[in-house]
Amino acid sequence: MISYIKENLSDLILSIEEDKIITLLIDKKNLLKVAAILKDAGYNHFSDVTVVDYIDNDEFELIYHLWSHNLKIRLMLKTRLSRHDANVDTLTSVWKSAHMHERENHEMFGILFKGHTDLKPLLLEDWEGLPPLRKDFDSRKFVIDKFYGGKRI
Amino acid sequence: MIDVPFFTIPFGPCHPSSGHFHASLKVDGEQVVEVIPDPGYLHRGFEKLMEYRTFLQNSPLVDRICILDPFAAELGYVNASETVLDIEVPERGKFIRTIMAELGRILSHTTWIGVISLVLGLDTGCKIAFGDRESIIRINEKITGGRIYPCYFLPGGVRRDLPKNYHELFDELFIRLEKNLNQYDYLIFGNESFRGRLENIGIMDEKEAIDLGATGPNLRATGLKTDLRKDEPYEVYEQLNFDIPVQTKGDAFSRCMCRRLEIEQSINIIKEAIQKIPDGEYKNKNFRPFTKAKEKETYFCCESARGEQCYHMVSNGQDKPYRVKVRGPSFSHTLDEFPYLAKNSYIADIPAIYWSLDPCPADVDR
Repeated sequence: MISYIKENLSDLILSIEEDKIITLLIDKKNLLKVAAILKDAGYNHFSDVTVVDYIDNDEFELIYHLWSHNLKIRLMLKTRLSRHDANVDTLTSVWKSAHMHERENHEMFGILFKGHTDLKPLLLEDWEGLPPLRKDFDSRKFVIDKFYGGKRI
Repeated sequence: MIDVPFFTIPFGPCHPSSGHFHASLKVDGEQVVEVIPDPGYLHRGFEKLMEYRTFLQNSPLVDRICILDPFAAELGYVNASETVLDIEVPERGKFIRTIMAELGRILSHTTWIGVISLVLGLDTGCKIAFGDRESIIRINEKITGGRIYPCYFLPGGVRRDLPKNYHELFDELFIRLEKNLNQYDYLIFGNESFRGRLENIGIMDEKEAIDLGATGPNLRATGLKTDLRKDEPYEVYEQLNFDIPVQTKGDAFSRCMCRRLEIEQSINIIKEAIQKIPDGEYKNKNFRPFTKAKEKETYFCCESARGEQCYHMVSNGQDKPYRVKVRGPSFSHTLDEFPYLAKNSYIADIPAIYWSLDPCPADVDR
């Protein structure tokens, strides 16, 4: 599988490692092309989308987890986004099950997925303020302010 | 032609009807036109809470992510944190974990038999199945100390050893279960009214199932023979012999039969593991409450009773994880498959389709 990736995608990927899971790091403008090539190669099951907030480097890292039922090898697809202007293309045209995962990450981190048809809140209700899973949102301070009137008992 | 708006019925978040999950059904007469899911009633914010607690303090939190099959959720967390902390597990600890994980699978399937027969109207099946569930929960209490939230697995092994008479506990349970499995086949799965409500309803084929993100028994009911215990083995599943039941039709009744046949395979796995279990240590003594992790990132998937349960863990050298993301198996089943299968069906078929997918609303929201 690694040799297949090196032949077909060598100009698009920035780095590749293997240690039981293949990890690919790509630039965000090549995302749709690489996703279409990987789907044709047999990666038909879309597991998950996760976001990690590296606040010291001032960027988000967006990770897609893929699995192939035939080849039985796991793959992680990573891109980097800036924290102040976080937007990326949606992958619902390639994998249909990415629809709801992207909606949840938009709500929790504030990332805009361009081309997504239905970016409404999923789990939280009437939430105003900073998206809650970012690192500059302190949940202990939020609880003390909201429920204890600002004073720790 | 006047444009009449559709009538909306809530398929509401009451515990007897749909668990803690709400969906709006747009209805035109007796036919359902569209289903709009609305999760979020059980959102407790575990991913943010786990960033403020050490690896040991997180283990009671992880039980509560999936209440109906708690051992699978704990197994995923413990394996992911062992990769990040870089510690080994002794052989006896791995065997004990495999036995308890299969017991959790039997517990989940027995609870599911009770709930689906209650929802479709066959109350007797519910009472018998919940009697079986009670005897499994009592074994949980004797081994781990907790009935529903066991809190038993630890990074590096298990918290305490099995009690000295565990052979007799399991033997009594298997005698009772094997007698009752014949009764389920006669009363529930062979019952004409029960089959009539579930056959040829909610059909999906293999390609549609993979596109919508199905895993576990829902995917095995369409004919694809896939199981994470055989494809990516973890713990001691490589040393044990078992089979994977597969059905081909893809309707609601095939999904029910897949789960019914898995109970017998789990009983055989436990019997074989009890014979092969070695003596020795049951936990790694190097793990302390404030052990620091290495700078690593990992992704671990295990096969729970409902499908693929995955943990993505990132750490940066502290004694608390930097980011934990949990993927529950019911996320795709409830939010993608249920609206697709329930389109253009009748109102009376909605509970049959919903419970044949075996959802756990706590997995969706965490």
